[in-house]
Amino acid sequence: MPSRDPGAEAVAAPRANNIALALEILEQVARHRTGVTANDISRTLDVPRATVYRIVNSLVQDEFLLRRPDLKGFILGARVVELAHLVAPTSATAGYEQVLESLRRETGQAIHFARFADAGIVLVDEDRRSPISDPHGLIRDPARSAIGRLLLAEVPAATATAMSSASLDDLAEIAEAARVLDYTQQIGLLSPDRACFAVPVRSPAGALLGALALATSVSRISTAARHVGLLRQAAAALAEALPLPVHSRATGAAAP
Amino acid sequence: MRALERAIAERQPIAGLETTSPVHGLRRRTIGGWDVTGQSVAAVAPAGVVLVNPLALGERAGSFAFVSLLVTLGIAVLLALTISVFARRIASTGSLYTFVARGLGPVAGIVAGVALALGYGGIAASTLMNASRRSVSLIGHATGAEPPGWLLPAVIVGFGVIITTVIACGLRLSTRVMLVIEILAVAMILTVSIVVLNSTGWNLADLVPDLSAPFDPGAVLAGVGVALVAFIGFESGTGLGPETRRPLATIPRALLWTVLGVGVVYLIGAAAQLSGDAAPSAGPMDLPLVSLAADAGLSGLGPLIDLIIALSFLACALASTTALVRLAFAMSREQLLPAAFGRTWKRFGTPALGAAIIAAGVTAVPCVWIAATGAGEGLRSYTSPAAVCGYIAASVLLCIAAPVFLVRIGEFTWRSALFALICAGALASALAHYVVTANESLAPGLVLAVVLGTIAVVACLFRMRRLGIADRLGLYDSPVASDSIGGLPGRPAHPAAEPGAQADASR
Repeated sequence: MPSRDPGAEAVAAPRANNIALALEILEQVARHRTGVTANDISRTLDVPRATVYRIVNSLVQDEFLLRRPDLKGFILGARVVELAHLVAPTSATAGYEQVLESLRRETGQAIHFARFADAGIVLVDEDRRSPISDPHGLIRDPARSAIGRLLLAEVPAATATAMSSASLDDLAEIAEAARVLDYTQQIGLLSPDRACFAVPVRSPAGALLGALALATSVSRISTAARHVGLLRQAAAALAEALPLPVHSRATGAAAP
Repeated sequence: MRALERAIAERQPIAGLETTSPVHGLRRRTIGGWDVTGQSVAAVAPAGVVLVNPLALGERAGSFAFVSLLVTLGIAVLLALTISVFARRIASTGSLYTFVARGLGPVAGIVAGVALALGYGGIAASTLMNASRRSVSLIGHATGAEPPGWLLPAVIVGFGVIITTVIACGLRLSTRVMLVIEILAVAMILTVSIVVLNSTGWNLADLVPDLSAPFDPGAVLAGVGVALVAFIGFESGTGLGPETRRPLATIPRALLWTVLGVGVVYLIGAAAQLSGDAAPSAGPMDLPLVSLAADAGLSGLGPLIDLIIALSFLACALASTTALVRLAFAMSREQLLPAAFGRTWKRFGTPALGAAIIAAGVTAVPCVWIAATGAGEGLRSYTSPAAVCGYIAASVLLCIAAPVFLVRIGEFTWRSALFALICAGALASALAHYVVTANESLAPGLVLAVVLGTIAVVACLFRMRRLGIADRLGLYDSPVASDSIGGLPGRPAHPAAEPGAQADASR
């Protein structure tokens, strides 16, 4: 036990070092795309193995790092993206974020962006100022959200019935409405006082990549519909800003 | 930070990751730490243990009863830490089975899996019987008439249906039900214990071992063996790993808190009974702590306490069945068991079919027992050896597996190895002591457990060889593409079956 006075410093100093070391470890993992072992990290950074194990394990617990499926070595987890401001404070934000930001400014409404992958919905960018009332409901039953309805309208009928609890008739209605308008809407299905419409984001080849949604109160949804044009422009810009999927699986599943 | 910066900017997919998890179909990453704790505590059933089983501890360990309990708590904490060696790295529905398979290979894994299944199955069957018998006697108490003979089997089947339904309708429902029951039960034990302690003037002299008597390590060991049974089931929360949010952090924490919490409840309960110098109970349904409470002026509680114990045992049957269903799920996804156990019900994301089959099996045991013997008594002498031996054997294998596993993945440390080996030694001696001193009433159950276990192990090994699936064993919820940095944004990622993971990963 350290004595009282230097105690405060002694506690604070290792913690600061731990964060620095954690970042160093993340950097090492980033350098080895196929994974790097804790022992390799310990050797490269010249840090005791026990220390590396401890930090690596807490990074794994917090999901900044993942263990490779064979358990030999580490790769970067999805949460590392949250550290973007730590490692690259000056770098420009990704293209799609600028598009969404200006759309939010121009419409003054909540704007959400989701992607479709393997016939599922991935919320990529939820409006922080006005979050989705029931994100789990949105993902669980696509028929309750405008974003989900775009996906339901696009996939084969059998897939759509498997994904949603909506009846066949309802699904046919949804698909027909989406085809006529080339956008979808829902009123009061996720939360009684909220309504939403969504336009598709399509690749140049026409495959459905994602959805751009505007959410507002039920009373304002009719006037908000004037922003459909803005959303369509933004969707076109997003399709350009986004890197195309490397595999064609997601687009293949969604192709008409 | 160049490489990290670039990796974050580019978010390239990482080779070698699947797009679907091996446990797809379950609701991945949805429940929290409280749910895991509810499952673990319910599987331990502290209320039942404190109120029903404590005298065995006093009888076996004599004046060292309290010391035995403290030693056992220490062993349980070491076991929790050793399980965490795995739980911090792997999220699996197979709990100890998957861990042992990962550490010691498929054959030891199968032995541990069968032992664990015997443990869960034995506890589920005996607690189901106990909960039903207490409910029937409560009904008899309420109506004032002798309950008809068909009532007990009917209640057992009814509880079996409830267990199936709750498991099929989603993990969150069952864990919350268990959590509420356990909070009630623990609150009741603490209240009764404190009333008793108050009435005896906090006479804690009996907690200190009588050092003038010759020290008898056998007595302490016997006490540890008895007390160890009281912790059985705390590891069952690990089987919920894939369905837990941030499982690698949540599960180890929940395990440790369960052991410490339950341990404190036991210490208080034991202190109350020792201070009141509880008389040996007259019959198996008598509760010494309750008669002490009645002496202290807290009378008329009998039916209420019986009700809470019945609920607590029902929760224990539910938790043990849940753990068994999740274990069978893991084995089924590895093809070691038929595919029916690994099928999930899309609506609730649960292995509902497996739950129905297993709950039917668990329900059948007490029903067959009643049909064969015509009475509700005596089942425990068959299920209890299966549960104790199965559970402790699986734990011993786990403790041996931990250091081997750490060497395999290149993260060996002496501290974890030391904890694991101390724990393995303590558990193995407790198991040996239990088997050697088993009296005649337990011997048939012991033989039956060994025979059943051997048959199951041989059958599993045979199927493993025939299908050539040895390298599939130890399957766990390995990271998928969408968990990795390559999963966001704009990478082909989540299958629709994993809503929780999607929502988490998107932020």
